[in-house]
Amino acid sequence: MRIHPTLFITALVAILFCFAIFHVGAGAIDIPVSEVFNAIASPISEHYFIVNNFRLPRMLISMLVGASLALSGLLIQGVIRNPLASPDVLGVTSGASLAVILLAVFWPQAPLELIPPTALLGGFIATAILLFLARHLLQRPAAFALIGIALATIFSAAIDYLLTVNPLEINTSMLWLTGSVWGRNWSHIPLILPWLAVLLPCAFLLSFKLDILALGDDTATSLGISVKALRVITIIVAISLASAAVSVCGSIGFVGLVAPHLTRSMIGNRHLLLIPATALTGAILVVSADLFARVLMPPIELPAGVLTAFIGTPYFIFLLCRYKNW
Amino acid sequence: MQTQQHAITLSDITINYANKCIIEQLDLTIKKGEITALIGPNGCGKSTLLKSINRLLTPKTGCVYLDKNFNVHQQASNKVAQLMAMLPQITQSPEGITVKTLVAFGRAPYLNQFGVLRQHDHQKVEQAMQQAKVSDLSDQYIDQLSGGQLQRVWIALVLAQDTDIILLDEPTTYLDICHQFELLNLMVELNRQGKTIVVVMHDLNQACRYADNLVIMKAGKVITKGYPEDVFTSKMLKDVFNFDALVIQDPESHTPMSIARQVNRPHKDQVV
Repeated sequence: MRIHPTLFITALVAILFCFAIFHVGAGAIDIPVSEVFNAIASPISEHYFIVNNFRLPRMLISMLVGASLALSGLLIQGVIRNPLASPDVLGVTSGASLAVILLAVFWPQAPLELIPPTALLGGFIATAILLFLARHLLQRPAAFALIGIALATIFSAAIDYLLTVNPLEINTSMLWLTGSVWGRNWSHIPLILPWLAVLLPCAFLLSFKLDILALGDDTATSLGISVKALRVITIIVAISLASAAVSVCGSIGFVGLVAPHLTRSMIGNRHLLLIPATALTGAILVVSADLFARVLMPPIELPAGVLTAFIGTPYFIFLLCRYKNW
Repeated sequence: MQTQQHAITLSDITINYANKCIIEQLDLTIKKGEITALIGPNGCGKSTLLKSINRLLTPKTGCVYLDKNFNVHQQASNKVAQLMAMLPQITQSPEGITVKTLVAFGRAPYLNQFGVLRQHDHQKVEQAMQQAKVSDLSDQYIDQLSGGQLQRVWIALVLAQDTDIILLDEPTTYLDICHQFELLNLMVELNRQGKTIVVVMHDLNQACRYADNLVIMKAGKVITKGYPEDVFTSKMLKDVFNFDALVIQDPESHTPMSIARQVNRPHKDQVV
């Protein structure tokens, strides 16, 4: 199935817009769709406070996080040509989360601004460990992904351990690291927005070269691409995007895996179009996941990460079953 | 160094792979405007040599010059790509792109960051597709093509790169016999238009028929090189390939060709 890219991207914008409105409207106090704009814009509206202080920032964070994770997955899949790769499958996001938890345990008073660089450091260390362990398996996507999953499991176990033995040091506001956008407010926007503002243009600059890399290392080199440099730069951009997402809402699984697959199947393999389309798809996935997480069984709020895992894990299993090139 | 005559000059090339020496202190010149075939037994290093010429491998020592001061391993990657193109032995064709899109990637060394094709580039792409006889496939998706068509599309990509030097790594390996000759004839046609071609070949008789020069390798060394008539002998086949063969003249092209000698084997009745 192929859809015209412009049409597809326009449709994605429209869908994202609809989910965004519902997301702001839904909750313990239901705001009708017709009231949402009024509630955002006019201070005299009875919902002005709740919308502008809680729901709007949370919705925006969901969008930014979804876009970052999806874009990270797209870049990683493109650069190591592994359809099973994504920042969460490879353990990058859990590595980043672990680093943030460690910071919280050993320096509970650490300023908020320190979280993104800490996440980034964790993400890079996780990637370095993965690349070292799997250095002979780069050509075997499934084996490579399996090592990533094992690493992710170790990191998650370490996170659970730290959260359990340090319940006092890590206050409840840290529990979002399990992959939830609960309680996110305006102060978290600066943790992720600047990263996306810098890294998204970087991704666009890499887009044509990534198209050529899809023809294989040999052809790409013949066509004048410095393959090694391209790999390193792209991986740095991808890990930074994933770590930025982690630093505001922990590890939300499978968005980075599913979103690129979805868009590839719809509009083909040109990265210049895939980048905006995948970012929008990721944003839709997280905004809708967080919306459903809140409205499915109120007043219980599920973490958005639980919902994305419910959709993403079966898809991952499907990919593994279908995958032939072991 | 006679740069007018030589398209490629290799000096003192040593290549190691996994601590094993594949090619040792090799010197070689490739003549401009000719078809040079690299032949030799499996594992003799002919593909490795081709890869090192095109920077897919970095030699441990030695240089590859296209011009007196143009060492390919020290130049900007896209600059080299404007002078030399290569068709790898195994090509990866991504799903869901059209023939024209694939061929247009050949213009990459000339394009900006976003790969926007200008009028001039579109012309070159059209021209390349005509030369490789794939113009009528232009809007087809590459996953729908046959093996022979796909190989011609890849040749078109190489042509769109618009280089004087073209390297081909066993271009006929996965083709049936009809498409093999179709491709080799295309190669000669390109050579007539002035391209220098270096080709790794498996079929010795095809190499003799289509190449101006043979470079014969064994165990990482160039054993001999020259015109097929001079170097393609029974003795060479025995020494290099351990192949017992008669060398006769190809009745069609009057170039040398080899015929395997009948191996003495026990008569059926004698086998108990």
